[in-house]
Amino acid sequence: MEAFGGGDVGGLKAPGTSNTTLRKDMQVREFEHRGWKVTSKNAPILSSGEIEKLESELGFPVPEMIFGNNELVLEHSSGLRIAFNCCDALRKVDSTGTSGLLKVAYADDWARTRQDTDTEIAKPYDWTYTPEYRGTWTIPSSMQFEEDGEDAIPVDKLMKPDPILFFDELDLFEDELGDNGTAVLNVKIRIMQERLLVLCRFHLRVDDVLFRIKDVRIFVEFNDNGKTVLIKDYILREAPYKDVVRRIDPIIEDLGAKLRDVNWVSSCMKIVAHEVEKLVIG
Amino acid sequence: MVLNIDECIEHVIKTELLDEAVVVAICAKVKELLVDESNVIQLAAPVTVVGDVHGQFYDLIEIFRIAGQCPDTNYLFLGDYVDRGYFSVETITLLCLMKIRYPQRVHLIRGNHESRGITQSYGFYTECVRKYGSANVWKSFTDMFDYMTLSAVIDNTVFCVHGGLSPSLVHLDQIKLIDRFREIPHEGPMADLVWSDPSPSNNDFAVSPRGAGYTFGKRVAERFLDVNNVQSILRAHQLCQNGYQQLFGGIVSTVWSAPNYCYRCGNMASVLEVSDTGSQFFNVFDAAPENAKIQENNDHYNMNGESILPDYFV
Repeated sequence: MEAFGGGDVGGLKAPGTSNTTLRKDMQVREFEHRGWKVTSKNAPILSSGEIEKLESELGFPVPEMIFGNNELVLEHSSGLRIAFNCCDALRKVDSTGTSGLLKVAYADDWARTRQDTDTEIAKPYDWTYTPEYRGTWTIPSSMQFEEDGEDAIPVDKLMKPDPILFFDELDLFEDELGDNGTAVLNVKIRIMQERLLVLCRFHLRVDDVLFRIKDVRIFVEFNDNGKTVLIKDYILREAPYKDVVRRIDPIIEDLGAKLRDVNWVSSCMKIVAHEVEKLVIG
Repeated sequence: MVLNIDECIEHVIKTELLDEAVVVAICAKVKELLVDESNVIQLAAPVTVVGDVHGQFYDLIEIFRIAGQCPDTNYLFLGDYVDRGYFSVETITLLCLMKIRYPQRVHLIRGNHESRGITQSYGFYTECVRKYGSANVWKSFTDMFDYMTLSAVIDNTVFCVHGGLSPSLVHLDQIKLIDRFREIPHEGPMADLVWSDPSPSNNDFAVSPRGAGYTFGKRVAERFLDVNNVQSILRAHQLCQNGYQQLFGGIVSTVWSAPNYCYRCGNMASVLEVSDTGSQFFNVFDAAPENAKIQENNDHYNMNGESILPDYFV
């Protein structure tokens, strides 16, 4: 079937290939604007060979939906380069379990009822796949991040219905944690005439245990008093599971649908950490 | 209620919803058929084995186009009929109708998603309420799930299960003793059958770092084959980009039957065709063309059916 790949000849589909056109091969989109070049790569999940190679490097099993070839890259004419990709994020997951591991809610019951007390425990790693990842940065030596307590991202400017010139959303990984919740990392971007915004979000639900959302935002104002200014904003939110569920009335609301609404869940959670940094790009 | 099964099938194939009362009657009828099945059903080849479908109804129809219509082809489904895809109701309704129409040619075993708890988290409950206005059909379906059997053996050769092996189940006779007519528990042998995964990193069983659940290694698989005098283990449960995967020198295989999983993974799918001579063939296939319109919609609506464009995310 591969031999017919594409299958479109003069508008006619080759017989037997109609169903191959839906499969996503690597789709690359490029967009240039105000000295920036943005590239988004969207590809199928990794093959078993690619997974084997990545797992031997990482030392732990990768998430079940692994978009290892997906990547969002922002390049500026100054040499600044910012990328968001799945493999770099997984390299920032605790592969040894030294950070103190969560357990599923029924772990104690499970351990009590099993009879095979001598079975070994698999090598620990952070099975929630929480990445200490804020993008993959290449910064020219002439530039330096400044801590910035003052200038948060100007939300008012982002609320304006300016036309979106470029939008994309990429899945990086997703795992159902053996039916104990969900762990998702994705990244999206929108570019307007005067500014752009990237949101790389990790969102975790461990049923009956906790919610965690890590947001990394990159905001660029192309002309801020004659300079291009980039703000990197990191917010970690956490909340015990029961604190979020308590806000839902299961009689009149669909609990599952409500808990899948990440923006709503996020609004219920306390901010645990918030860091803002600024980069002036000539 | 007298069910006209062929008429129901015609409606479902056109993705027309059946009346709630009809669905309730269908579930009751399927229960009557399932209740008599052993926890380890004995099947004779030829049979085509299908892995996770997850509500991808157009791809299920594609399977029948590719691997043959029932009753010309015998089918064994390894579970995970619902959740994730947009047509869980149509998928499980059609499979139930086929079971009623051809009870000896269609077999449905239980996956981890055939559960009340899991379907409330991963979409089937929401879909039932959206399509029927209440949770009644969800209740009927999930009550019926409690009757689904747990495993099968083809020609005394291939052991088939949704997830994998359990340290508490060395012999097939031990599987037969499980009281399966219940919600899938968090722990114990019934949970292990629908949840455990093979792992090349350990030779034996290993406990997941999550604090619950097992993986099983090559030595465990070899011992199971030896004790039970079968030749291979066939399971589903794990997404594979190529539609199937063979492990431990071919004695454990995963079959995955949801192409372009969740309408965005870009993976292939397969069904395993076991012929009457015992030969096995993974028939690999891609997403059905009918999914194109879903993918278009997918860009505009989220899983809860809410519009998501234009995306002025902040």
